[in-house]
Amino acid sequence: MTNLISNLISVENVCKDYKLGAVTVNALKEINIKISIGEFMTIAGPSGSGKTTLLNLIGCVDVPTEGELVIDGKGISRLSDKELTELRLNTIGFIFQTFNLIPVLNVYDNVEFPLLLKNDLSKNKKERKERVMYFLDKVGLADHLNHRPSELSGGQRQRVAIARALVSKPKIVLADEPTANLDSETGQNIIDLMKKINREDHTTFIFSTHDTSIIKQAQRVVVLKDGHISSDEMMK
Amino acid sequence: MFKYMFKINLSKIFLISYRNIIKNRARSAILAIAILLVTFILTLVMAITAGVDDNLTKTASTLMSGDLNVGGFYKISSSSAAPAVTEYTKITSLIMNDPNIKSEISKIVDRIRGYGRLISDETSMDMPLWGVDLRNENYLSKILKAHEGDFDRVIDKGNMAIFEYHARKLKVKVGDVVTLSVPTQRNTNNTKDVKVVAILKDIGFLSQFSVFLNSADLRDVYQMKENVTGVIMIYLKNLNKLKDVENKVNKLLTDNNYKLMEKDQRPFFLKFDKVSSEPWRGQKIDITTWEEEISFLRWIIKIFNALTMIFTVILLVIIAFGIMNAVMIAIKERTIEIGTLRAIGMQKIMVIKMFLLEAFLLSATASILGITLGAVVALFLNILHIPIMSEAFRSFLLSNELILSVRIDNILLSFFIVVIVTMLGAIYPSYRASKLKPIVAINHID
Repeated sequence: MTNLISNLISVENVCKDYKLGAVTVNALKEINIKISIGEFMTIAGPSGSGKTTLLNLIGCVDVPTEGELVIDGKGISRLSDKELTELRLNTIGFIFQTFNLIPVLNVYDNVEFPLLLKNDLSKNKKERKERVMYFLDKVGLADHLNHRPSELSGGQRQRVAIARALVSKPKIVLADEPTANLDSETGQNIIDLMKKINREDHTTFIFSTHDTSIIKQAQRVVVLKDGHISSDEMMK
Repeated sequence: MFKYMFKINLSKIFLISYRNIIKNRARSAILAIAILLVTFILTLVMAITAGVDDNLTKTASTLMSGDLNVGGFYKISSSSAAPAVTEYTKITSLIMNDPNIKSEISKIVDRIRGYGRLISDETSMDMPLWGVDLRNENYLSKILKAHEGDFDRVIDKGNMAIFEYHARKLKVKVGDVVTLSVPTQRNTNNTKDVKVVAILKDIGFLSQFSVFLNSADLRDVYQMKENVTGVIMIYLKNLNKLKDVENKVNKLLTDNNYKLMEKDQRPFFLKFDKVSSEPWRGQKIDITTWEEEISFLRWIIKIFNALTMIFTVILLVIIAFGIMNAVMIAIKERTIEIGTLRAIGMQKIMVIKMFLLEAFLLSATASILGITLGAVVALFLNILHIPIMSEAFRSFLLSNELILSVRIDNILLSFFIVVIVTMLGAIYPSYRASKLKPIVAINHID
């Protein structure tokens, strides 16, 4: 029972193959990993090692070819598209390398958007506003509410993306190379922000990166090589 | 699925749709102009068809028929047939003494009607004849405009008004005398000379079927008594009550032992052969509506409706493909956005909804503008009383001038047709967008 609660994510014998024409690429091979609530974990490895593929599987935007993923007690292979979408909405927050904000919405609207998709909050404007302002304040953009993404710097955009990922209070936040498009100082600020939220709210963060200076700051580092886990270490 | 659609707040979806239209203003403007033009043209075409229909209804119910007609045939031998109603004043009294019927009537008149030959010095032609008493039907002179002469002189016996069409065919002018020849009930022909006192401006195709004489002259040639007429024409306050009043008149006359003819939805002059071949003698009453009396002209409206439909379908197919193409381009440009929205928890149905809403906003706005413009132009053209120069078009449009009628039902129909077609055009690409796998969409590269 304790194991079930602490294991927020369980990846069991997961393989993922892609077909490129006549060639089948084994992007992930027999991956086994368990991730607990509140972890601040990075998935490292060279390009093509399978980092993004693993994040996509954990994020339920892709399905494994073999094996099973259990996210927050739900085996995803048994879930319909609608249920997977609901799982993503309620349990997982995404931070993308290229920010992926909705260009026609301003900062406030972008952050508010996931809440509008939730049945319980869709019609509760007051609570939505409180939440959006809380997280925008947390990422330091409370004074940029009406700015469109095109009017923000890369670092600011990523902060908006973090606020959007956090606003629905997910148990898991997945970030695929969140600092790749940022300069080192801004990248460090973003990592500091993620660490702060992890510490304060016990949100589980899983992010991929090549950057060794960032890897060192994770509590746990899982290194992938050619689709295998080559190491899985807790950092001091 | 639909429950989900209405549970969630659509305000931001609306905002995204609206702002994307503005963001892609060049593409949106081209498509909006296309939709606007289609609805504009559609509104004009529908206004022309409605104008022809209205004009046909108005002129037909003035020249050839009441809203409801109590006519019939009188046969003194089995092989004869005269379009006459004997002791018509009794029928008129019966109708006007029935409070349920009287309350629906705005006007009741009678006319002698016949079918005969007009013979000029040069030629002759067969046609329906109308014997009118202008003291009772003074409204006719407001509708029928004289090209030459004076229509009001038909109030005097021995005078006749013909249309330009007849004047050309018979090669006569005002002041000329023509001979009227009609078959009587005794299978002989009676003749009478009448003077042309007015040549009326043609009012399209219907002109060919109307020549106006003083009712006394027609009564003379048919050797009718004073208490005999051709038809009792009833005009109603509300045309929607036509069927109801028809049934009431039918019952009233049946209850009062009048023999009624079987329902035959043709004008009276096409019933001669049938009636002549039937073995009965005496009087039979024929109750007809204005639509039945001009049923021989309905083909014109059918052709107009068919042309409008073909034209509409062509325009709508163009619009459907246009919007389909525009939505496909929008989806291609926003594939990553779709993937992101799906990843953060947007259901497939909402993706469809988002693009349909965008198509709706564009088509609804453009079609409202197109319809408004079309209606204003139609009303303006109507005020100008633009003459139709071609005789062929005059005949076909049943009018000397372009008549456009803007009907609220046509406006609503245009709006809904255009909006529904654009939505249908947007459904397929929107559905395809909703089927995109989030992982594929997020990693999309243009």
